[in-house]
Amino acid sequence: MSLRDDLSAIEQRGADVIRGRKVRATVARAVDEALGIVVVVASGLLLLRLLFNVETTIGIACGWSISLAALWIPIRAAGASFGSVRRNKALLEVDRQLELRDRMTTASEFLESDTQTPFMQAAIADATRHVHRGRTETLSAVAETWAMSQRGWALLVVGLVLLLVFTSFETTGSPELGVPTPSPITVAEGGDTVPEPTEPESRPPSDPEETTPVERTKPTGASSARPGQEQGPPTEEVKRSRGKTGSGRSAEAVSATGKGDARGTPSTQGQATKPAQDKAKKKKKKPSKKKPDTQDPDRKRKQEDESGATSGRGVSSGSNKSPAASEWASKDQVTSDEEEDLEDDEEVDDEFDESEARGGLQPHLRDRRPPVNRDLGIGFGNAKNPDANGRGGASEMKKSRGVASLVLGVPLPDHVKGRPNPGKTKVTQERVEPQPESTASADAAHRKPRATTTGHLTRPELLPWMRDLVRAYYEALRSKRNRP
Amino acid sequence: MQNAKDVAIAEEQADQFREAHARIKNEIRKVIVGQEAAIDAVLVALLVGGHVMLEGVPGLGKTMLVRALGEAVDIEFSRIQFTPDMMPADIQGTNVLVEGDGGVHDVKFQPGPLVSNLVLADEINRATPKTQSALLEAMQERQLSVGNRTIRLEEPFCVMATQNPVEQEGTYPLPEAQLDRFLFKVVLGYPEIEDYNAILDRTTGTEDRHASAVSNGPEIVTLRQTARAVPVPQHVQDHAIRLVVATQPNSIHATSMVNENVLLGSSPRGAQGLLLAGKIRAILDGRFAVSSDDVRANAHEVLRHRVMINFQGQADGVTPDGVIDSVLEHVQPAAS
Repeated sequence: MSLRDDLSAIEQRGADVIRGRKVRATVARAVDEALGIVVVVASGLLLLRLLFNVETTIGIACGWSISLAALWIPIRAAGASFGSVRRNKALLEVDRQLELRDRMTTASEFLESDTQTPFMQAAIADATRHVHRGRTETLSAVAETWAMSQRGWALLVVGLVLLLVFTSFETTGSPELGVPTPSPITVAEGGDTVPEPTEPESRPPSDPEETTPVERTKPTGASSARPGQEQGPPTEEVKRSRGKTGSGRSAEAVSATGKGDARGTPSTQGQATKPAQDKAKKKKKKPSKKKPDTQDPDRKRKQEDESGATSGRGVSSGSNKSPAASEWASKDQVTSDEEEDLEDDEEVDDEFDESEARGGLQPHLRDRRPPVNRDLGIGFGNAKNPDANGRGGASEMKKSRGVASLVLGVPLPDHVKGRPNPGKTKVTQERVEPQPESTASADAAHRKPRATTTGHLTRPELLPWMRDLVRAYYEALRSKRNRP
Repeated sequence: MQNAKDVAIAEEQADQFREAHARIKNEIRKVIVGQEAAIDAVLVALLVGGHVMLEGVPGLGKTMLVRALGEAVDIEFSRIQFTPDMMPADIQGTNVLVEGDGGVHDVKFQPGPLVSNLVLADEINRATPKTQSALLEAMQERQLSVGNRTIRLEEPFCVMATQNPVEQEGTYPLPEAQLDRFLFKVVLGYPEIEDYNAILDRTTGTEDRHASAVSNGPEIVTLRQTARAVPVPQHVQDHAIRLVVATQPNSIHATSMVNENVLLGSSPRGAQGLLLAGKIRAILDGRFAVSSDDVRANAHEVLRHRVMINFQGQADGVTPDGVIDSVLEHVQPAAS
């Protein structure tokens, strides 16, 4: 037998293993899907019964849902078992299970290659030495233990609940949610009609007349009419009386023995013990009154950090500013009454705010914030300065200050303790792009001579001989004027 | 008949490879105690023509390991101690004015320590990026351009750099382009407890241990040719590609962890490194083709310096090794 035949046989074994595993996985998924089918079918039947009064019983619900679900699993399993498995995948499965380091797959690929280098031929020869293992050794098809998923368990519970609902309908009667059941009408001698008081509690649950929904939906029929009452269509008086008495309300709604009465008359038994219990509870609670405050300072601070809108939170020590307040403003700048109380109480303060333990504010080391930017240059932190043109310009907002922030590398809130509302420093930066100005261009050719003064004119620099010439000219002119 | 002859040739080459590898490794072991992974990594890099970045705290034997390799292989070895004031000309070489016969002055090129076979770039992150970048051309092109002169570097050429992960003051992190040129980034850990006795015996006595030269440059070049002749099946190559692509955020194989925490994934050099390292591993394991396991075995060393964690990942404490673990878990060979 050649190596190709051996590899084909090994491929078949690997494909069988993969198919077997696929079928198992598919069945596991199909169980979940089947439970979903049970839920869908049961819900549908329940809706049909509630909305349209279609007669469905527990037997019908169980029969349909379980039979459909049971049919679904073998269909899915059959579909999975007929799928094709690629050759490489099947051989890789054998390689993996027998720890052959891809020898079978590699040999299969190299056998199909047009040119075989010495190393390729050596690899094929190496695979030939291991091929008997692939043909003989047992392969495991079980990859993982089957366990129903959480979704499957949830569907199972929902399905069981739905079936229980059906069962309860069978035993207690129809739920009167959507279809109003008219109460039997009694015609009094005087012409006034009064609704006949119904006694659902007193009826035996096994009464076949009451458990049948069809009969309950036709209360005016022959079986539900009182003896002596007229058969056939209702008379005019009966119609009028139905309008008066609010026909269509449920029997329980108009019942004289309303259930609400029972609820409205609470028993006085045990009331005497309630204050005692409350007292005991209060006593128990009193020593640990401050416990929630001391247990949750971090959470409280986190809430404060997340939003500035903490006003009206009860014991929250957050900001009482508007919700639009910035993160910095919401931290420590505003002191509420609770905070002042806490500051007065030294013991609580120590427990509550560990960060202010030694000589001022200490950084929260657990805060996951970006490390402080130690770049001393002017810029935009770690990001590139969009206005970088070598001239510097406005720098980013100062996030931290002090030696501690530089050494520890954590940002510290910039605030001064003890001063209420110390304000905040904010540097705003606005990036202004140059915009072209829309002006009409001047036409130099048609420009008229200037009508106004020209303003200051610079005196041209004259050469010495020219200066002397000018001076001589003006002196001669002046002497002429002064001459009598 | 021809087949049997070819198979015999391949087996002989593989045997020679294994024998030479064992010879060099044993010689290095005379000097270095433990650190098997690091020894294997530097040997693999030397045998495939790659460069290695050794990272570890001081005192773990990084420099000594490379020195031992330089002693075990009889090739030209140079060491560059990188300092902040070092200039590119200090490692590449420069033109100097020399006085010739008869007082004639002439400009002559004086090669730097980079012109060597095995270069130990000690504490490479202490040099400025300008000087670090002087290595780029040498590491990738195997040549140097100084002025109007181009110098071909002699094979085997291998750069082994060391850096200290804790002393970051006054250091310059390597640029991504340079990190990508390293085949491996090996992280050295503390020695095992049982290794301490041997370390102390060797280093505190009077005996000065040195490795002897058991190989040479031409043999290393021959071994490289043998290693590169190892074929890679298509399914293994596909697996290496998928591993590399899976480290790239928003790629088709990327996991949610990669998409959320990785800023930059591996380049195709990562896939090259996976296959080259896999070839050495296959041949040392007595096989003649690379398997998926060979590719996966070196994934951490090959990919960890090529995966950049973004800000969110750093804040969440995600490491490149963690990302690679998730990629290895997500990308399985049988799924190809």
